[in-house]
Amino acid sequence: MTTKRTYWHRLVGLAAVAGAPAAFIAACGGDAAPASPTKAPEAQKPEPTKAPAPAATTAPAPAAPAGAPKTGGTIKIAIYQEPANLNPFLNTQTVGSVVRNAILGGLIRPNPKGEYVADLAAEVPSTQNGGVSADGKTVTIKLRKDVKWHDGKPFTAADIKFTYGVIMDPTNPVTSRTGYRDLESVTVKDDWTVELKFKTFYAPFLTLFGVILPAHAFGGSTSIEKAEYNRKPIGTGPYKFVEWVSGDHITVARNPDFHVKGKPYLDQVIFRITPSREVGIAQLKTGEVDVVWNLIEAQIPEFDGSKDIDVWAHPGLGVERLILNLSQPSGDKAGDPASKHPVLSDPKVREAIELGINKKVIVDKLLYGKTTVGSSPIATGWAAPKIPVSEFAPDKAKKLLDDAGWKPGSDGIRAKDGAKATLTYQTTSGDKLRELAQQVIQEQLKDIGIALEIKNIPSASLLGTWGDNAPRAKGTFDINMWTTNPGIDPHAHLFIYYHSSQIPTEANKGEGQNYARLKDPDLDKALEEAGSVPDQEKRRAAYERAVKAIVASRVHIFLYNRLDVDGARKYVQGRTHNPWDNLGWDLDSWWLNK
Amino acid sequence: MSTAAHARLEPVAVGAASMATAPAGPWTLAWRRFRRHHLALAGIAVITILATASILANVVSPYHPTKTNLLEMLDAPTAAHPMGTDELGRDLMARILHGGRVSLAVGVLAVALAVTIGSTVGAIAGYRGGWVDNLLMRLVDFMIALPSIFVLILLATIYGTSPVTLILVIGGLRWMGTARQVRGAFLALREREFIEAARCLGASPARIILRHLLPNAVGPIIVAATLGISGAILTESSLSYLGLGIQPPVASWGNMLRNAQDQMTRAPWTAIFPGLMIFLTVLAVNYVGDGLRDALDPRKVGTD
Repeated sequence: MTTKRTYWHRLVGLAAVAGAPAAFIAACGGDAAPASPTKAPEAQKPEPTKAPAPAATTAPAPAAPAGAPKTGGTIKIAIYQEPANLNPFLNTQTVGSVVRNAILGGLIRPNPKGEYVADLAAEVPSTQNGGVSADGKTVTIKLRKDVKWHDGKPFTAADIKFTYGVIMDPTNPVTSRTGYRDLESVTVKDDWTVELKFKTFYAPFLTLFGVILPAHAFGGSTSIEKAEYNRKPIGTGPYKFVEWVSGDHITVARNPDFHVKGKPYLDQVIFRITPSREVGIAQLKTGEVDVVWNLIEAQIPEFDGSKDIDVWAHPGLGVERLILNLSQPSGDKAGDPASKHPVLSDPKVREAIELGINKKVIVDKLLYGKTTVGSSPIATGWAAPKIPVSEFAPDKAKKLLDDAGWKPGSDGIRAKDGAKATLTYQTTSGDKLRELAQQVIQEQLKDIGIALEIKNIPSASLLGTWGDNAPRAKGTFDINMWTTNPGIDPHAHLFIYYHSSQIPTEANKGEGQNYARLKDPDLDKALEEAGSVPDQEKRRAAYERAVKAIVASRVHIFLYNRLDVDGARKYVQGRTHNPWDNLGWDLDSWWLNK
Repeated sequence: MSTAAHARLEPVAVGAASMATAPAGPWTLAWRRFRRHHLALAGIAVITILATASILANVVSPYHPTKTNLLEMLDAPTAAHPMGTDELGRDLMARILHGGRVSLAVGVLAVALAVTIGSTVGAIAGYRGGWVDNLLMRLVDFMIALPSIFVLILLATIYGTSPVTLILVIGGLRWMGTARQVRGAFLALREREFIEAARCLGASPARIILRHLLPNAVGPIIVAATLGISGAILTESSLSYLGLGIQPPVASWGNMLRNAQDQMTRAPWTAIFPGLMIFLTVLAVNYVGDGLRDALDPRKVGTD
């Protein structure tokens, strides 16, 4: 699954999340990407304004009792990919964000609960504290006054303005300008106050400026594609960049002037570049490295009963789901939202499919009970409504199908009016967890009289675009399966996946990701409202309506939440999991208990 | 044996007519030599056992190959499951046997296809010579130059992956060696006196090719075929390994082996058995090929 993450860059569109460029990639991702970039505007320090010193030691391991953090030592983190560069605006790799988390900082970033907390900003602007105007179009951000760049220069509002200039400079191949494009102006009010004026209200405005670049490091030019900085970043984060030996390692060392007093604890962090995850695991076992970034679910049991190693496995944001096509899957009308899928356009069939799948057994057996059953496109965070998990009721499903006129034939497969309930079922080929889940689901649905034919294709084809003739874009599929996630602000993701204007067609050149071809006027209204009001409470209520409509439509059947999995020696302490950000988002709190 | 036998056999087409007059026909002699190749005999036994067990899979194993049982995931071999269970609790032996049908069928049929294409092309090129030969051999060169694994991946992506397409694709990309060998044999044989004699007697080209030339070139063809079977099985494995082979839940030895890779330390049986099957088949087929090569080598005709 390593390479799969690379598709994410296609999804730029959905980037609502796009605080940091890294942020947007994940949004739709086709794939697993546990620690996907969506995760967040980069930034590091965990307890920004308030927080007292003693690390937020929600030690993931039931291991050693975490006492007071010890200072000193070196941690080696194995990464099986090498960042192409360390400039957040030119790089969308998750691994790039992992390394940058140690070095760079941003204005605001999400904490593990999905709340926005200030990092380099003094507070999170809101209508209550006067930071956000009533129409939401003017945002005033106050900055911390005690922050220094790694080279000793003070961090000021001019850096924000410069960063904006970099993002909008047409000579830069930046990964996304979503959100920034909606800005009319960025004005420096004084050294520590900056005002953002938007042309139109942009709901996920708090995700903007998730990383800040130092204006002084570029000699005044906003054209940064070839800047030396891209391989030698200067930041405000807990660790300073030391060296990068390509193909071998990237070293960072303690920033003594870090703006959170008493942190970080480690002297040095070395990102060791390994040829594969497996090599990283081998080195973790021998103690050559202390942490391995990004494992796959199937590797979890490899560490069962290990005395020295903890597996950090936590439900991430991505929700593995079935995507059902409501339009005709073949012929002239394929993908035409006005046409009807002979089987899947019947809501009773879709309901029966959900009732016929035992999601719990998939979670318990194939994911070792380490994750949660999926029920909603927004699994967690401020916008996540409580949606009950669907029941596993094959008898109810059979009755539903019987009553709807789907009668079993001699082979046990149901049919109605000449349409046989035989459906192709595609996901990315070569992905073992997915293939296992497919076979379990195939058997379960056979039991209720629906036949699935597995026809997997490489991820580049499955998750391709209109131009690639991908089945999902052209509507030439029955059931697809992949993972995607809404990011910290679900606006772009939900809109692009479920709004009726986002159905890919010849007319719009395949724009949008409403692959299921869902058209629901009430849902459209809820999504539009959620994206256009500044009041967070109203947005939350609108998302609840939207999510309920999506779940009821069953055009996506949510199976389970993907896991973020990393491995570490038990003496690595102080880490917390943040589904919105990548490993190392709280690297300033890590310490060594040895 | 004697030089007399050598002399007697050499110019003669290996046809039924000559066999009738000879005390021991070339096929009998070949079988005698083959019989002495013990490894080849063992190979034949192994292949027969594997093929029979696979064909009779339903009789040999009471389990259904795709019936999952998540309560018995990755059980070690026991009396109930002699080869253990896989990661979905399916009986591994049932999957090995049913997978054998796929792997062996892909191997044998892909090679049959390859040998048919290869012999035809080689025969025409070798017999006709001239520009036809040139054209066909450039086609062979072109096909050899194609990086076949990428072509396989491309075709598997476009046409999907049913056993039939796999057979067509693998067979369609593995015939060039046979074509070259058959052409080589034909080039040498067509200048020989007995061919000239046949031609003088007014035999049609088809008759000359089928009755006189092909039987003499059968040795290299059979050898190429046996060796090709192992190659085809391994190709299916590697396609399965890339996720482009047989689709789940159908088992093949290749995809079983691929699925075992990340649980090898926990459940080694899931890797050992399919690996062993591929290993045994390839080894057995290679020994049989060896035995056939020795048995059918015309230069060895008199030597034992």
